[in-house]
Order: sequence, then C-alpha cells, then structure tokens
Amino acid sequence: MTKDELRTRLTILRDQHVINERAYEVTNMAFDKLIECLQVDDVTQAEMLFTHLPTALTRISQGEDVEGPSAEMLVEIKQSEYYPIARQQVDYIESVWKEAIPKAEIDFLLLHYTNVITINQGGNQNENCCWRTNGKERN
Amino acid sequence: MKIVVGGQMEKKEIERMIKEFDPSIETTIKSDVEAAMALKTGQVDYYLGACHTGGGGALAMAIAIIGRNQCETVSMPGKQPVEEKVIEAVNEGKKAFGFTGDHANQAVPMILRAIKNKN
Repeated sequence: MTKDELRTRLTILRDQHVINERAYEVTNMAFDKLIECLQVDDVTQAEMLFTHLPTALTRISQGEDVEGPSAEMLVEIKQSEYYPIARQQVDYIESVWKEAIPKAEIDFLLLHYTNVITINQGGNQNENCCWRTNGKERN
Repeated sequence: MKIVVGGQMEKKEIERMIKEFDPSIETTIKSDVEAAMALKTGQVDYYLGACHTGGGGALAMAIAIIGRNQCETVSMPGKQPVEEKVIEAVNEGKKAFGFTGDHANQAVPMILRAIKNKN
C-alpha cells in the first residue's frame, strides 16, 4: 500500500461517514510514521491494518467496546522480533490520539502491526526505529 | 447465485466453506474494494468477508461503497453469530456480511442457510 492508495481508501471511508475526520488524520499520521520507520514507500499487505485502524479509532470515539484478541495470540506476537517496532508504532498512535485507547484495541493494533511489519520483514531498518536504538537489530 | 468473498482474511477458507455448503454457488475472491464494487454493480448477489473484529477490515469498504443499510456485522470478538439475527438481516435485504475469522465456520453456513430460506 502506498500513501496514495491509503489516501484513496481513507477518503472513501471518511466521505461516506464510515470513519470520522480525526480518525482519518491520525491514520494518515500513523502511516507516515510506519513508512518513516520501515524506510519503504509501499507497505505490503497493509490494507487490513489501515482499514482496521481508522474504524477502530472511530469506534473508540463513539464509546464502543470490543473484546480483545486471545491471550495465545498475544503471547505469539510478543515473541516476534518485530514486536518492539509494533509497540513503538502503537505508542505513537496513542500519543497523537491524545486519549486513552482501550487495552483490547491496543492489543488488536499490536497484532496488526506485528503482522504487517513481519510481512515486510522489518523494512529497511531505519536507524530511528526503536529496535535499532535498543540494540535489537536483526541478524 | 453469485457470492464474492471480500474482507481481509481467510478468503480461500470462506470460499471453500461456500462450495462445501452448495457447490452450485458461483464464487469469486476479490479485494475488499473490488468486492464491494462487484456487489454495487450487480455482478454478484452477496458479499462475505472476515477480519479480526468483524466490522473493520471485513466490512468498512462495503459500508462505504454500498451503504450501511445493506451491511451486517454477523459476529465480533467474543460475540458469536446468532442465527435469528442473521435471518432477520437477510430478510431485510442486507447483502454484505462481515464476521471474525474464528467465527467463519459458524457464520458462513448460517448466512447461506438464511439466504437459501429467504422470505
């Protein structure tokens, strides 16, 4: 998914009132943050994440709850070498959303981010990524 | 009957379940946007899709393209599909159905039964 493809998708969702304006803006910021970290222009198989994210943010702003992913799934993603990057990206979303995000939604975002970063094999390892600064470089 | 499998995950498995339910149903697998457009333009009769939460990646683009009144979130995390609600949605004329990947084996036959027995 490129930035243009993201924009097209988000514009359709916003214009048809499936997502709200704030979710639209924060998702654009989140995409920029991810491509900055991975140092890629085209994030492979990111459609699910970047459709889930704005709908989740819209759901949160409307006060709707969901049950989080299974404990087994969370244990699995936390074992991923890419989990620290996913955590960094989700922390960034929380910081720009400026409101607490429910744990269930955080866990889903961690799941989606870890999957996407794994599919993209960590991108091109930007030196600003947390795993590099934390000394968690890939072999 | 023609059904498009959109959504974001388990697409081949959903197609397999549809074929297992009724081999005469014509199925195609598309991206969520292409699948929603196929439904909107009348190329297919129904849309089925899955994601982790049932309503995000599974249905968001379908809601945007064909309208919320034609879409039904059949299951969500921790909320299994309910046959009566599925029947009601189908009889109301809803055409696009989203569910969580782990509920697909319950949701798909439930939706297909409701379509087959539609009032």
